[in-house]
Parts: sequence; structure tokens; C-alpha cells
Amino acid sequence: MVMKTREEILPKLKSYEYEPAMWYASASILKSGSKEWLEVYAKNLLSVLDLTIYGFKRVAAESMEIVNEPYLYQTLGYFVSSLGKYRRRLLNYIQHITGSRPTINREALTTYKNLVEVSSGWADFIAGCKLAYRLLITAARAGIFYANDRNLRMVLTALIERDYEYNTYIDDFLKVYALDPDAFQPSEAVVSTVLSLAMSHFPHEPVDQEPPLRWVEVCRVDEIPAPTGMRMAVIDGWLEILIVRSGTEIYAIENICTHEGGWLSEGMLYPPHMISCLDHLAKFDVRTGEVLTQPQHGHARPLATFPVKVEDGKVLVGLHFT
Amino acid sequence: MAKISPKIDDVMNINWLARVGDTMVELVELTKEEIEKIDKMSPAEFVEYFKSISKPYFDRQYRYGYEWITKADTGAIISWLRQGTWNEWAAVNLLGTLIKDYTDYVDPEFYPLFARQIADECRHVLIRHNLLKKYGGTMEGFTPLEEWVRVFELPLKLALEKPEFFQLRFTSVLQVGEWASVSHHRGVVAGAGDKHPELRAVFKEILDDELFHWSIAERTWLKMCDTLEKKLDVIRITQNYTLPVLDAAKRKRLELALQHKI
Repeated sequence: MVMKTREEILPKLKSYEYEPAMWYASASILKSGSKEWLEVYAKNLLSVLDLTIYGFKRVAAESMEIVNEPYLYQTLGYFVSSLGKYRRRLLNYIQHITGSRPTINREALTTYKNLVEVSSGWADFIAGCKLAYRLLITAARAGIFYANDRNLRMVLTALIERDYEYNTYIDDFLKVYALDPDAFQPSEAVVSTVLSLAMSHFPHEPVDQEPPLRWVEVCRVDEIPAPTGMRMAVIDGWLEILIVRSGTEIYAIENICTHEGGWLSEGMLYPPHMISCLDHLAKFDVRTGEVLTQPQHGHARPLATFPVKVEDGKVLVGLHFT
Repeated sequence: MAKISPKIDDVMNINWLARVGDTMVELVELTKEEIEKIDKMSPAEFVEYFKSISKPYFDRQYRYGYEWITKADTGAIISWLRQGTWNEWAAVNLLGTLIKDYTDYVDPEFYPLFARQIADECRHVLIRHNLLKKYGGTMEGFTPLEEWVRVFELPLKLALEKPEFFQLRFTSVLQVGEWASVSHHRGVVAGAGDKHPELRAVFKEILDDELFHWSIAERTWLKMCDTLEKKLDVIRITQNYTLPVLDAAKRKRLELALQHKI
């Protein structure tokens, strides 16, 4: 009898495939509209950000291969100092909503020490830091679309602004130790260490979803090509939304591809529910935002979706922020 | 409530289930009067009813755990922990897959709970692995027992057979399995006494999380078990699939662990 390998017996998820868990859970607690969960969300972001900073600071201090390569060392310095600035803004925000400024994050520090201990080498360690960074950005994106707090949105928009470049930088660091950074997977112990921190603040009780705080008219139904078609709309001068018609159903999704920022309004719609970005062919489900096919390189995250209703021939999009 | 002899329902054509035909689970036969009683139950009453009919099964899991640890030597504990560490990792994968691939089948209010369970299972991977190392074991050359692979394949297989009951069925397997683990680990903790203090401490910690994981089923059923069809489906899935498959897996693991064969 031929013995099966562990991978053949039960499929193993890639580390980035845990991002949907972070995304949907963060979106859910934010849609509750609860101040208490907003605080938990912000503190959780801080924990994951701190873990990322600790991790990359160790790379800057101890990885001689990276330290001795001027381009890598410069980009690493730029990256780490930017993370420090984002941290300061997040601290300011947390102080603003809670009245007290967080001190050193013991939880993140302990997780960092565990990460050092369980990682089997630099490639494994950097891949763990990359996972922490990606989970951070995934959670931050949920805040931009679903938190009812303009101040937080400003902090988070800055945090995710250079995500595409930073992903490239991280892959450059990883490439020093792993031939194909895109395909390299951290060990089970490293993934477990990062996830055990990043998702440990979610609640023990189901979180009631509040209905949208407002409905915004974006277009008329007859302005969207039938039977399938798309139309872009901008809400509040910043939120690009794509309205998608599929037969009798209408959906609303964010218009920017979560992979490297391509415009989905210039993409291809595959009825009934799939949309593809033309830049690198990431494909999404317009109903849930789920990533159906990853792009040719790198990884896309779930797409933000918004509830839609039609009244008197007008398309209205529901938003969880005022 | 009459007892009937063990049998496996083959309605869903999952062939491998036939292999657990030697199960020791005593299935509950629901009489017409019993079904009428269930029909009138509120979701909360139904959860309590489910606990009462499943109690003998969970009591047995306690005895398995208690009796086993009193006989186990270091080699047996290493064998047992190897499979246990893999089980935690399999749970992480299963929950990650649930949210990644079956997004629209899950009630959004429950996403944070499943994410929290992922964090717990990840912590369990690490603490079980650390314990394994303390006993002098490693995961080197490990292949999971077929019976346990089935345990982790079952939730999605059954849920996809009836997508309209997806979350009900998923929790009727994975989360009920967590309750079985609570009973089993309580037995291990009680039987470990002062002989295995580290093992006892680790499993006490895991127990708290497993109770929370079981509560996800309670909460799902409280919200969703609002028709007779749904209540009977939960009973049928647990009685005919979850409990026999878990029982076979747990017995096999204990038996082989005593022989240091995992």
C-alpha cells in the first residue's frame, strides 16, 4: 500500500489564505457599530502592527545578509521607520477614543519572542513577519470601509497607502533566503504563532450586525447596461464603488483591485458573479468579495462589498459610516 | 425513548462511513411522541434536550480518557500527543477553509467566533507541540490516522450535502467534536493526577477553549434551529455520523498510542 503524504490527506492552506478569516471577522465587528468593538479592533491592529515592527527590527539588527546589501538595508530602514510613524498615529487615535495611551504591548512582545524561538531560519522568520503585515493591512482595510469614524479612516488610509510597494520590499528581503518568495510558505509553528495573536481578540459571542447608517443614491438602474454590465460611482469624494448588474440582481463592490490597485471598472465581468481585474487577472465574487482566483504573482485580499437596494428605479448603496 | 442497535445511515453515500460499522455508539430512536415533543421545543430547550440525549456518549469519552492515562507510559503519551498536535492543525486548516471558500454559507455574525477559534487552535498546536517535546517526542515522520482524517473531512462533506443547513451541519460535527474532547480531556486531567502535572496543566488550559468552541454550536442552534426539520437534522447528523466517527477515531488513537504506534 502506498502511504499518502499529509498534504494529500488533508489540504493545507497557504498562509495568505487565512486573510479572509481576518477580513470577514473584522468587518463583522465593525458593522456592529459598537464603540466597545471599535476599541478592540484598534487595539488588535496595534498588537499586529507591533509584532510586525518587532520582527522587521530584528531583521534590520541581525540579518547580516540584508544589512550588508545597501539597497535592501535602505528599503528596510524606510519600511521600518514608516511602520513606526503609523504606530504613532494609531496610538494617537487609541488615546483619542479611550482616553489613555497604550504602553508597551506585552502580548505582541511575547508573540515576537515565540516567533524567534519557533522559526527554523531567516526565511521562515521573515515569512512569519510578512504574514503579520498582510493580516494587519487586511484588517486595516476593513476599518476603512466599515468603521464609522473619520479619524480612524485617515490613520488607516495612510497605513495601507504604500502596501503594494511594501509587499515588494518584503519579498526582496525574503528572496535573500528563499528562491521564490511568492511561493515560500512559513512553517506551521510560525503560522500558528502569528495567527494566535492576530485573531485572539475576537469575541466569544456572535456580533449583531447593524443595518447601514445611510443609503446613498449612486445611479439609476437604467444607467447600468443590461442584462449584465457595470457602472462606477464615487461617494463622498473618496470611495470608488462599482455597481454590477447580473440579470435582475445588482451588487456594489469597491472599485480598486486588492492585489495591486487595478481598476475593476476596466476589468471583465463573467456572469453571473465573477469579475476579473485586467492588470494581473485576480478574480472576485461580486456577491461576497471572495477571491476566486489569485493573480499571476502576489496575492489579492477579499474585496469590500456593500448592500444595495433599488427604489423608484434608483440604485441605493448602504454604508456603515456617516 | 428507545435504544436501537448501532447502524450507519448510508443515505448520503459516503462510502467510508461503512468502515466504522463496529461503532460502540448507542443511537437514540425517536418515537412519534418524541418527535412531537421536539417539534414543540424552543431552540434553547432543544439545545438542552440534545445535551441530555448525548450525555451517555460524552460520559464514555470521559472514561476513555481517565482509564487510558492511568495505563499510559511516556511512549504512549508521545504517540497520543503526535496525533493530537496534528488534530489541532487540521482544525486550523478546516476553519480557514470554511471562511475562505464558503463565505456566503456562514452567518456574518459568526465570523468573529470562527476567527477566534482559529487563534485558539493555533495556540493549541504550539502548546501541544511544546508538551510533546518535553516528553522527548517530535512530529518527525508522522502520518495521521485515517480515522482522524475522516473526522476533519466530515464537517464540509455533510454541510455541502445540504447547503441550506450548511452552518447547522458544520457545527453539528466540528463543534460537537469539541464537546467530545472536553469530556475526553476532563477524563485525562482527572486520571493524570500528580503523575503528569505538565500534561494536566496544558489540558486544563485547552479545556476552557474547547468549551467556547462547543458553545459556537449552541449559539448556532439557538439562532437557527427554529423548525422540526432542522432539529431532527442536527440529531441525525450527530447520532449517525459525528458520534460514531469520533468514537472510532478516539478509540483507535488510544489503542495505538498504548502500543506506541502513532
